[in-house]
Amino acid sequence: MGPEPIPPADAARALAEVDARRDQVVTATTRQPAWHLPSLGVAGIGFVAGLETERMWLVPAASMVVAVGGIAFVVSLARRGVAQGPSPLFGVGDLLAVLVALMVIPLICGLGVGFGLYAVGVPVPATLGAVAGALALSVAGPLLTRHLRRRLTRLPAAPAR
Amino acid sequence: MTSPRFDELIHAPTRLSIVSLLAAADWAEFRFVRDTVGLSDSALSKQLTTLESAGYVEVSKSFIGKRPSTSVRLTRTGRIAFTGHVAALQDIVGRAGLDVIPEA
Repeated sequence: MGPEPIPPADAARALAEVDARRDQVVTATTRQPAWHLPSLGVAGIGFVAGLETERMWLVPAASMVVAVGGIAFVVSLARRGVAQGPSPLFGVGDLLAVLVALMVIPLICGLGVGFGLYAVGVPVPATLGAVAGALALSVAGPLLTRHLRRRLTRLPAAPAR
Repeated sequence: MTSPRFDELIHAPTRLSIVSLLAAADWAEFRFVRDTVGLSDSALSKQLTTLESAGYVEVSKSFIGKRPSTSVRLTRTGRIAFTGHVAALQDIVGRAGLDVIPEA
């Protein structure tokens, strides 16, 4: 076997650079503004509260929060430049993780608290349930982001041989 | 199975940074690559021209509304070259018995 094209230490540094750049892409593609998920939670609370208390103006107001939040989110993405994450990310397991974190957990919390409070006669149980769901979303969202980042950064830069 | 193949073109430090970034994404905006790698517009354009000449990257220009947008992606040839280069680096490190620990 001939001599190595570069010293092993240089190869190790190059591999570390490859890992570091991948981490940057993972961070960029999984980052979202801290206000985004809580704003969706607040909108959900407003929507439910509007229906429960028959203050129907809350329903379009909540819809506006979702719409404005969505636009602001897209604008924030566009301003910082965008990278489209790697395709292997969204395997079935990852899609399930997203559904569980952003839909199932908040729904279960919200419905559980709401029905529980209704059973004991607490006023506006659905609204309070929506608050619980919004809090669950605010917690589950960042945990999901952390999980996805960990998974992406564990993907090998080159397939195993 | 990836055959290790050391690639001098990719290994140049600035190009390694660029290609590593592109390899981790389906595509990336020019601005994102420029700001993340820390290059000027002209310096990045020059590197991308070199990589494009080798068939490793594809540069697309489009408009988002009225705003021009340039996006970059690794071609299939570029991905094969990159994974071969990474495999070669891993081989070099492996033969030397080093542990590769990413810098904190």
